[in-house]
Formats: sequence, structure tokens, C-alpha cells
Amino acid sequence: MISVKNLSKQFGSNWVLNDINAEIRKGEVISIIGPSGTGKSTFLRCLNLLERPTGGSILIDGENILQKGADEPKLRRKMGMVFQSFNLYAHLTVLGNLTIGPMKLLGKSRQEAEAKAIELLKSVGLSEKIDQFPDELSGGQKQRVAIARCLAMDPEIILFDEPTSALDPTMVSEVLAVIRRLAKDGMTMAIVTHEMDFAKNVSSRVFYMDEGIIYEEGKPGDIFENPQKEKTRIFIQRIRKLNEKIVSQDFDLYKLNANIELFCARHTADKRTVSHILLVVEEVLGQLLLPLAGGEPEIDLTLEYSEKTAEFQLLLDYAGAEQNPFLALPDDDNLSLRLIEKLAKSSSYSSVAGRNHLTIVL
Amino acid sequence: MKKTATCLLVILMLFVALLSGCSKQAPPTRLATVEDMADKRIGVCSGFIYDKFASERFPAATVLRYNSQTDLLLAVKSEKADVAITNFAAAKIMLKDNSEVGILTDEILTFPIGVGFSKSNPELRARFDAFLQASQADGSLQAMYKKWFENDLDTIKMPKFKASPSGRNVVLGVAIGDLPSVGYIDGEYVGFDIELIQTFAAQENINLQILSMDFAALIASLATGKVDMIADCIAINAERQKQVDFSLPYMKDKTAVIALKKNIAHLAGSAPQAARSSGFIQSVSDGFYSNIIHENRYLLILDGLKTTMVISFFAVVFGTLLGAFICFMRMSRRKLFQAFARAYISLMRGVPVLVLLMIMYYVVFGKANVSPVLVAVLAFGMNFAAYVSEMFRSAIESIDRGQTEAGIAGGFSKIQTFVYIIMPQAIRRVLSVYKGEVISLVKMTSIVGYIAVQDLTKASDIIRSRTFDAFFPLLMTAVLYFAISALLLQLLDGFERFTDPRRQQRGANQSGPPGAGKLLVIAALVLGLGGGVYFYNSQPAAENKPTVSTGQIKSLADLGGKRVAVITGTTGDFVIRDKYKTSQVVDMVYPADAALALRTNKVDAFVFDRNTLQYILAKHPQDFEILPERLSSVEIAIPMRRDATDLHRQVNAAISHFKQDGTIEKLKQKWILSSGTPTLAKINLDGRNGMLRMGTCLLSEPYAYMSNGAMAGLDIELAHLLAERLGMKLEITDMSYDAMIAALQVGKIDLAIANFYKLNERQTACEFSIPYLQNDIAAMVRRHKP
Repeated sequence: MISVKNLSKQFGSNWVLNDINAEIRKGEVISIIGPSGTGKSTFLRCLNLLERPTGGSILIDGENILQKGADEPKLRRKMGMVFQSFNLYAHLTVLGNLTIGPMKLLGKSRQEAEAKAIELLKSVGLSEKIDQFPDELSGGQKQRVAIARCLAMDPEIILFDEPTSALDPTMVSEVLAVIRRLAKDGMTMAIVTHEMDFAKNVSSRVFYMDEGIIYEEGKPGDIFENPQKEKTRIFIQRIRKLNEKIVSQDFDLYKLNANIELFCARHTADKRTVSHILLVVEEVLGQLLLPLAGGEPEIDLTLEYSEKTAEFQLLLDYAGAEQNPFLALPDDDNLSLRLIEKLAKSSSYSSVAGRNHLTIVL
Repeated sequence: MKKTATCLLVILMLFVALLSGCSKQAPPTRLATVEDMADKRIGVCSGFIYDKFASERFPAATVLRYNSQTDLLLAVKSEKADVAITNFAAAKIMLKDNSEVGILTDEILTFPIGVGFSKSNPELRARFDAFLQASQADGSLQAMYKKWFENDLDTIKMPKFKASPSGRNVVLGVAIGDLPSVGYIDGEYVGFDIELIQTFAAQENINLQILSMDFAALIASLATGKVDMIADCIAINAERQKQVDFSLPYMKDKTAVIALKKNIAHLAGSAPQAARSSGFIQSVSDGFYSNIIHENRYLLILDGLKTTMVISFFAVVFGTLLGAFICFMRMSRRKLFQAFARAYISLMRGVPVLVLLMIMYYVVFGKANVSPVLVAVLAFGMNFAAYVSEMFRSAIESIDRGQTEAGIAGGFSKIQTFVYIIMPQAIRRVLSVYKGEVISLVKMTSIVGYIAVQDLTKASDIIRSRTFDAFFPLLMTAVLYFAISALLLQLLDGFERFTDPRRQQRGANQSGPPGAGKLLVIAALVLGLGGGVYFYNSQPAAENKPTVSTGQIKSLADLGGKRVAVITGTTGDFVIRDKYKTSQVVDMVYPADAALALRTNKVDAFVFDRNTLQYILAKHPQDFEILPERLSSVEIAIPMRRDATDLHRQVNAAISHFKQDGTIEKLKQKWILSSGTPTLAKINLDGRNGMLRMGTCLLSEPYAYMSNGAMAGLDIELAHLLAERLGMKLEITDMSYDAMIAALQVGKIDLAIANFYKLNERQTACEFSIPYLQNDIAAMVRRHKP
């Protein structure tokens, strides 16, 4: 139905969209996820030409809408759009918001338009509000009216630009419920969203956008459970990182400890966890790695926290010959090893091309 | 809203009434016999025999002395004097136009009236006596008396006398008391006394010269030999006979005592409008009468109101449309449009609208014959557009971008989005400031008088200049502007309610077809528009219609049907309005403007005083010519603050002096008749007696103007001489004629010297000095090029 090829968009000297290729088929529900500022909304707005793409092509039912002479308003009538900030017509009642398009653009009579509007309002649970003005409604109600307004135009696809981002948490679900029902009814939709659970449960496909391109796409199960790319994983699991480099035998352990404590505090780790982490870091560095490294250590220490699993993970990357430190320890140092084994949930070692990777899950 | 407006009006009216009421005194008791005058305030003309008579006969009475019969009458009418003593003939004339005044008695005093001669010249007197006896014998004296005293004065014709330049010179002194004895009409001395003496002069081959002066100065100038004989209904009495030789009496003068009818016992019943017993109510109704009813002046106001409304309405409509267009250009993406709109807006906002108006009238449409009303609509509309276009822009820009996006995303084109989504919201936002701008436009139109449009303000100016009453016309104008503004506000409020989505949608949803409110507003708009078109067609546009006859103006008779420029409030203005009803009067503010209008073919003639016209002609001899006939004659005098009685006396004395010693004549020679560029004489003012605050208008060459950065002109030099004589320093303020009148009334200035014509009507508001110049009203036309 919509086929996007090599789409690019430049704001000034900044390329927001680099080279987007995507396909949206009839009946699909596409969730577009990704960190902020990676062009998700711009991509959506390019689809109905609210933003004029800089290059590439968008084919709708085989017709390139970027060609000169394309009837943009007519095209947009087929594509509803729901905004983050609702954008209901402030001077019209709820009913007026729903009927102005059909009456002025589709040539429907007032009776016809109003009958349809009332029916749609019923379906989004707002039939009581038909004579209210937008500023008299709550955010969730406004967004449901906005969705009904799109539906009044009988669109072939609805584009949702972060439909719940401006809402109180308590109102998110009423809007999502409406969208969910639309999905069930087979409406084609493209939804830019930060609601991961919603994206996972409702979509038929997920686009992960980053660096101005569709970085990874796939079925929600694949993207959410088993992302193929690191950036996707970090985003999906909402991972936060602390990175430190140790390049001397006499490194400042206290400063490192202080940084780790701050990082932990930011992610609300309890005292016990913090002391465990500090202990493990000290033992691993002091007892296992530094003795092995010799005069010029080159250790890359990363402490990760996943908001999704609420787990800390210590990643150590260092140069040197392949040797599993857990196995290489002399017997009399078993105390450190024991300690680490006791405090960590799991640990693993791997070595690739002269770099050793040590992972300890805490 | 309506209630508040009514309340405000009532308070305003009460305030006015109070202000004008508090200066009044309780009416005196009624008069039945002559003896009842004994303790009253008796008005007389100073220097007349009645002055002495009144003080001797009624020692307990207060004698009030006035300079002229007009002042005397005014004093009685305004109850400053309870009774007035004057000669019977004069009283008769007064009664004709003033039904509220009646004659208490005419049996108090009769005088033989004679002509005074110098004691050193008995020969002339003997010849005059012989002439009198002869004309009495053949009945010609009686016929002449009958002619002057028993006919309507307007119908009497003065016979023409041949001048006898070869004969002996005799100078006759007169005071121009009033007709039927001596008057001054159309530049000629007329009246019974004049005709009598002219007849005598013709018989005796005398080259008669007539010199006018204050009545009080007549005897003295005869004694000093300045004049050879004096006449002006002079009563013969013993005291005067000591100084002067009198001829035989040529008539007997009866004396009348006049008073307000309501104060005269036997006439009280016939006093008109007896209900006006309270001075408080009366002053208001007097003001109302003289400013509104008299001479149908309300028609002037109504016409002005119509013009103001027409200009305001069309300027708003045109300005709004133009403003929308400018706003469109300003918001356009095209750099050229943007730049044009920016330039337009800053230009229009940077130029005073008055200047814009003048440029449009005199420069842009300089040669074109375009109705000044249309020019005003264009100028105000252009100015209005600059302001509202920015309002529109800021209102449109204040609408959330999301509204546009929603419209575009919803399938509307850009124009549809603007019309259906943005404009309804922008209109609501802009209305509150737009309303204010409309109101200020309405008030701004009050300057259209500068391009000869007679709007509400101008109408009030005209009335003011006629009555010299600043209070009533100004207040009424204020109230009317307020009413127009309130009306427009109501209309716009209606429109605002109409655009209020809450009201409109709710009404419309329930009833289906457009609600009653919508219909009402549409009806109001249609009515307004229709009314505007009607007014426009019915009145101001008439100036454009080819009813104007196009023939060459060769004499005054040709003025009918022509466009005649006058300066508002001058005698020329009144004469044209009264006598040339078919002419289109074009009201101008300054003579220079009128001359310009005449040169640029905007008018066909300019009626003003001959001195000024000659002055203008001297500068543009190829462009103009002045018709030889006169429309009227006027006396030029100095209006003064009413309450400065000392000043009145001093100024009158000074002017008498200046007239006698030839100063005035010299001034006239120097400033008006000489061809060079005169400069102001150096006069040192020591100011030992304080400051004389004077108003003038420095746009009235040759009387008062700026030359080489200094004030110059006849009036300015006269003012200096006057101040020198009074021992005062002079503070001259330049203001418009209307402003001077108001300034006099509130005492901001003491007097105004600015070529002011002495008119009876004006004397209700200020005190006029005796005249210092005589002048003709003449008409200037474009020079006929064969």
C-alpha cells in the first residue's frame, strides 16, 4: 500500500532522515520505536507530506506522491493523522470537529455527517460530549475525539504521532484501548510510540529507528525478545551505562568507587547491592586482572544497568593473552574467586582477537 | 451597556446644566411705572445723553454703560441689566427680532436732535440751518424722516450722491450708532443723518468726508478741529452747547425704556415662553436654541453626522479589506510582497493621518475633481489598513501551529485551512483590539475639515464660529461622537457574539438552520451597508454631480451653482450660505488652502475679505482676479474676555485714539496696500501693568503671519501698539480661530486680534471692542483666459 524508497529529509545542514526504505501493507499495524531525535515523527510527517522530503520516493498504491502535480489534499484525505498535542479545532464543538471535514471535503450533508459523527463518538465512548468544546475535555477525551475525527474521513491508514506522550499516565490506557480496537478491526496504522508493551502486543511489525534510518525491523517478538543489533538491545532493555578506563597500576580506586556509587544511586540500587558491586570491582581488578596485565594495563570497565530487568552487569574488556582469570588463579587466592562467585549471579569469559571479555551479572 | 450609556448621558447633561446655571441671578421684581426703575440696574450706551439722565433721575439705581446698542440689548436679555434706556427708533428695531423684550414706557424723555458744529465755524452752521428751514418748508425733510423711520430698514435705498472733489472740504464725524440714523453697509455710510447731510453737501458743493469714531469722542474731536461737523442722533442739551454749536433741531428723538417682557407688569402675560422662569433651565434652553434650533442649525449637525458616519463606515470597510490584503502580502513567502507590505506599514504608521489626508487631497488628487469625502475614505482607510494588517497578522500568528497542521493533515488545502480553521479563531482574537481601532478611526475623522469636508466636528465649528459659544456645540459634538462610537461598538459586539463558537454552535445545532443571532447580525450589516450607500449617494456625492454650472464667473450673480470656498465662520461663509443657496459651500480652514483649492480647480470662487484677497492676488496676479462688487461689509474688532471690564474700556479708548491719530490708517497703508515686504516696527514693552495674553492665527496674511522667523502683520503690530499703550507685556499664542473662541471663554487669553469680524451673534460669548477696520467681503475667481 505504501512503499518508501531512499527517503531522506534535511533540516538545514542536519540530515534527520538518511535513507529510509520501508513497506507498509494493508491491514498492518506498524509501531515505530527508537530513541528521541532519531526522526520517527519526521518520517511519519513525511508520509503525508506535512514535511516535504528532501529526496527519495513515496509510492502510495503505486503512485509517487512526491511528483509534481500530485493532489496533496486528496492524498491526505486517505491518511488520517493523530497528533501528540491533539490539535482539535478550538473554535468547533466535538461534533463540529468531526463533521467539518466530511461536509466541506467529502460533500456530505450535515445530517449525514452528524449521524456518522455521533456513531463514531459512541464507538470511542464520548457520545455525551458532542456539544462540548475541546478545552472542556480531558487529554484522553481529546485524543479519542481526534481519533474519531480521523475516522470520520474514512481513511485508509491512520498515522499516530506519539498519541499518548502528552497524556497523564491515568489516561494513557483509554486511548490505547481505542487504538487496540481499531487494530482488531483491521485498520492500517503507523504508530510512533514509546509504549513498548503496547507496541509489542498490538503491532504486526516494529520499526526500530536510529541514526536516521530504519535500523532494525521485524516482528515484535523478534525485536523485543531477541534484538539482533546492540543499539536495539540497549534501547529495548533500556540499558544505562557507566564506562571507566584503567590504564595504570596506580589508578584512583576511590574515584572509581565514587563514580560507581553515584551511578548506582541514580538507578536506585540498594546499599547492599552497591557494596557488593564495589567489592566485586575491587576484587576483580586488584586480584584477578591487574596482576595479569603487567606494567601497562588497558582495561575497559563498563557497568550496565537494565531498567527492564533491574539488573547490574559488569563488563570488562582488556588486552592480553587468552586466559580465563577464573581458572588461572593460584590456589591461595581462591578467597577472591569465592567471593566473586558468591556475589555474582553468573559470570562468563570469552576472548576474541587478543581482547578478553569478562562478564559478571550481579 | 445601554443602561450605562443612558446614565452617563444624564449625568453629563446635569453637569452642563449645573455649570451654566450657577452664574445666573434671581429675577428682579416686576416693573409697573417709571419709578420702579429707581433701584434697578439701568443699562445705557456710554456717551449718550441717557447716561447722565439715568444717573440724575435715578440716583439709587446702578447705571451700567455699554459700548453699543447690541451690547445693551444683550445685557437686558441676559439680565445683566434690568432695564435699558435708548432711543425709541433703536428700541423699535431691537423689539422686532427679540420678542422677549418689551417697552416699559416711551414717555420719559424727548430730545431735540441737531447737528453739532465747531464754535469757530458759525458760517457753516448758518448755511445748514438755512438748508434745514428750506427743506422743512418744502416737506422734503419730513419725507426723508418718514422714509427712514417708518419703513423696514432692509428695503430702504440710499440715494447716490455725486462727489464734489472740487468743493470745500468738510469732515463729518459719526459714531455709526445704528440705523436709522447712521449705519455702515456695504462699505457705505447710510442712514437718515447721512442722507440729510449728503443732500446738504450736494447743494452747497461741499466735498464731504466721513470719519467714524466712538460716540464719546465726537464732541472732543469737533472741539479740537479734527472734524467740522458731527451727527449721529445727537441730542441737544445745555452741557453740550457749552462746547459745541448746534444746528436747529432736525428731528425729535423719543426715548424708550426697555426690559424683558416678563419683568414688565403690563406685558408679563405676553412674554414668550413663560415657563422659562428659572435662569438655570433658561440658559440651557437658550444655548440649545441659539446653537441648535436657530437658523435650522440642527440640519448642519445632522449633515455633519451623516458625513462622519459615511466616512467612518466606508473607511472601516475599505481599510479592513486593504488591511487583509496587506496582511496577506506581509505573511506571503515572496520577498517582494513582504518588502512591499513592510514598507507600506511603516510608511503609513510613520505619517500623521492629517498630513496623509492633505497629501491625498492636494497632491495625489490635486488636479482630479474627486469628492473630498472619497479622498477622506481613502486616506483613513489606508491608515487604518496599516494598523489592522499588523493586528490581523499577530492574531493569525498567535493561533497554534497545530491547528494549521491538523487542517492540512485532515485534507484541507491551505486556503481552506485558513478559511475554515484559522480565520474563525483569528477573528475572535483580533476583535477586541480591532474594536478599539475602529473607535479611534471614528474620532480621527474629525480632522476632515482640513480638506473642506463638512463633518460633525466641522459643523460644530461652524456653529461655534457663529455663536461664539464653545460650550454647547462642543458638548453636543462630544455626545454625538460618543453615540456613534457606542453604536459601532454595539454592532461589533454583536459580531463578536456571532463569532463566539459557544453561542453560535449551540444555537445552530439545536435549530438546524442559522440561528436568530446570525440573522440579526447579517441584517445589521446589510442595513449599515445600505444606509451607508444611501447616505453616500444622498449627500456628499452630490458635490461630484454635474449640478455645478460651469460658466465663467463674471459677477457675483454667477456665484449661484458654483463651488465657493469660504473660511469657516467668516462673514463670507454666512453671506454665501444665506444669499447663494444654490452655491456649494466648501468649508476651508485657512485662506492659503482656499487659494490653493481655487488654483487647482477644486472650487470656482473664494469668498473672503477684500484685503486678504488683494494680498493673495498680488502674489499670483496671473492666476486670480477679484470681482469688483462687494457681498457685504464687515467691521473688524477685537473680541475680549467678557469679565475683563477694565480691559474693554482701555482697549476701546486705545482704538479710538489710534483711529483719530491716523495710526490705523498708517498700518493699513503699510501692511495691506504697500507693495513691499513690511517689517514689524520695534516697540519696547515694559510690562509695568502686567501681561496681556493675546491669541492670533499666524496663517492669516497680511494680518498675522510669520516672516523671516518673526511674527508680522497688521494685527501683530496693532497688538504691540495696544500693549505699549496699555503698558503691558504681550504674550502671543498662535491658535486656530475656533480655539481662540474657546480660549477667550475660559479665560486662557484676554483678547484675540486676528481679523475678527464683529457679529451680533458672537457678542453673547465675548465682548467686542469698537471696530478698528472696515472691510468688504469680496469674491476671488480664477483669471479668465480667453
